[in-house]
Amino acid sequence: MKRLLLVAASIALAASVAPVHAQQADGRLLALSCLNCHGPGGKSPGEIPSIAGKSEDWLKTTLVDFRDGKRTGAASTVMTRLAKGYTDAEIDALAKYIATLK
Amino acid sequence: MTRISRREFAAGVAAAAALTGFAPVVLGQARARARVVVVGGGFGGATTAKYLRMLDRNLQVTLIEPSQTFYTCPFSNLVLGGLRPLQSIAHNYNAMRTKHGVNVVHSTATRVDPAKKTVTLANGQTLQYDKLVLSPGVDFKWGAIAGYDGKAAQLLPHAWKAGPQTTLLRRQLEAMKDGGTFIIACPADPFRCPPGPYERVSMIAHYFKTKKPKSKILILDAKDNFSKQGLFMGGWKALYDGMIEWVPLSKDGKVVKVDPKTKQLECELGAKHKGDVVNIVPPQKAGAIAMAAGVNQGDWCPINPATFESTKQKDIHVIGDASIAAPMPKSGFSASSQGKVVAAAIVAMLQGKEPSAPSFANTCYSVVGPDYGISVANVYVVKDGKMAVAPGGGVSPAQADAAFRKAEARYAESWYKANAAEVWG
Ligand SMILES: Cc1cc2nc3c(=O)[nH]c(=O)nc-3n(C[C@H](O)[C@H](O)[C@H](O)COP(=O)(O)OP(=O)(O)OC[C@H]3O[C@@H](n4cnc5c(N)ncnc54)[C@H](O)[C@@H]3O)c2cc1C
Ligand code: HEC
Repeated sequence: MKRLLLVAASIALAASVAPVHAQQADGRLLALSCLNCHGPGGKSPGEIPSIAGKSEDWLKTTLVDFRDGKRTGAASTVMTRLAKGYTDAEIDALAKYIATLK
Repeated sequence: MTRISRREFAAGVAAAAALTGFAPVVLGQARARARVVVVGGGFGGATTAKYLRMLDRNLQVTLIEPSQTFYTCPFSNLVLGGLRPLQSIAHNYNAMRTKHGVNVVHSTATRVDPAKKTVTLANGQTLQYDKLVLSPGVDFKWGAIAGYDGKAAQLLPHAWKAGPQTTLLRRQLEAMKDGGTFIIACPADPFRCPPGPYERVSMIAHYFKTKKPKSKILILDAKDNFSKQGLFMGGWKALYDGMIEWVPLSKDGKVVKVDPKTKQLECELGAKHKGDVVNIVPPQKAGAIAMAAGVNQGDWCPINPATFESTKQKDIHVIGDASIAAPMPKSGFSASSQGKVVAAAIVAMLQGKEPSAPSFANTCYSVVGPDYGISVANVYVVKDGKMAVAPGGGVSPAQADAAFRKAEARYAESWYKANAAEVWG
């Protein structure tokens, strides 16, 4: 128990070093609306691709490619329109959080 | 390791308790299990209840919903078109109970006392809340069209709440002779699902084309333009040329009176129309419990868009169709997106923290034909205290090829499954 307390306390400490500020992009919150299309936990039950199990780098590059119109036609039916709605910082936060979905 | 202060130690105890699943003793008083009551088990309410528990297992969450089975309006137009059975749009509350530990009570909320923070149910129960979320959807303004009330809707269905009304309209379409006329009366903005009437027209046109090709469709509209208008009209021309006529407000399209027995409709400037099957989409307002709670201003409920807390009553949050969230449309996707943001905001507020900057999204897919889908998609942010559209977004391109339209029809189906799993799964 004592050990667990120390571990827990250090988690609490780590958390207090980097508090989530109100205006800082919250990757998890941003990602929640993606799941209405990409499925619970990022695992799609249909033809929309899954986004779970991808690396942070790949996610970031892909989202930026969508946003910048590098995927065209039927390869980007909706993502180009949506990706333009996020700032660079938000795309970073999204990629970082979604990469934790296994 | 640095010395641990008392405060950090206490936090450690709480964290350890959270890890081990024991209720924290030290902080137990301050953070006694907060109670959140959610009214309405549709898109907004079910999402909120589930996410409250996913984000904070310590919360006591009660969901009030009269029905055991929820039939979604999304894809009910596909049921009308004969593309899928009613059973495929039915959802239940089993996962809500067993997977998420939400206390589901099948009853109707009849009264809210914002001062005492209580909700009274039709079954006689009174529930105490720390936070209340209302997602009651819409009620119809019976009588706004003369002659159109709950009883008339048994003859001229609205089918704007799915279930028995969907079945009724489908049966009438099946019974109609080839060469008959289907009339739909559409309301002015704002109303539930702006592209909904036009997707319905598309699906019924598909049914006519395949089964009753001599039949016609007449749209009587209380507006001069509608959602995804160019895309719908392009789709109708491509798939159902000559079958559909649209009469806008300025051409006397606004229906003001109905005779349910003769199925005759009268418009504002005097035009009269008779249909073989008549579908009235009545004008709408927030569900009655919003009025009972005193969170409405006229027909709808004003909110602070960052948290969807009512601007009229503290600790009551109103989401979904009932809220004033424009430019977000009244859609199931919007309601669910709002539910997630509100769940996170409530968890933060109950812990005395400031909620994260909110971000919302909406996409309304419309199925024009089995292989022809279109969409409108936007991200929303709060800017200067107001709901605003983020850059980008918009409707599917006007000049897309067949592969694009087909992909969107497939994605619409995929969206339906993913979204339902996010809300009720
Ligand atoms: C034909 C049609 C097609 C549509 N297609 C789409 C689509 O493709 N995509 C999309 O995103 N949206 C679509 N919509 C819109 C979508 O159905 C609504 O926007 C959505 O249901 C709103 O969610 P809500 O939570 O506000 O209300 P609802 O989902 O209607 O849920 C409200 C719930 O509250 C319950 N309730 C009400 N009062 C009380 C009370 N006093 N006590 C307890 N419970 C109560 C009701 O029983 C109901 O279950 C469509 C709508 C229609 C009509
Ligand atoms: C309206 C439904 C919808 C929403 C909401 C949505 N997506 Fe997508 N996503 C799609 C579709 C459809 C595709 C396939 C590409 C296309 O047609 O645009 C896709 C593709 C992707 C891909 C590429 C997957 C691959 O294997 O190629 C990524 C990454 C992605 N989305 C991330 C996101 C993120 C992050 C969000 C939330 C910010 C999001 N999506 C929100 C529908 C959606």
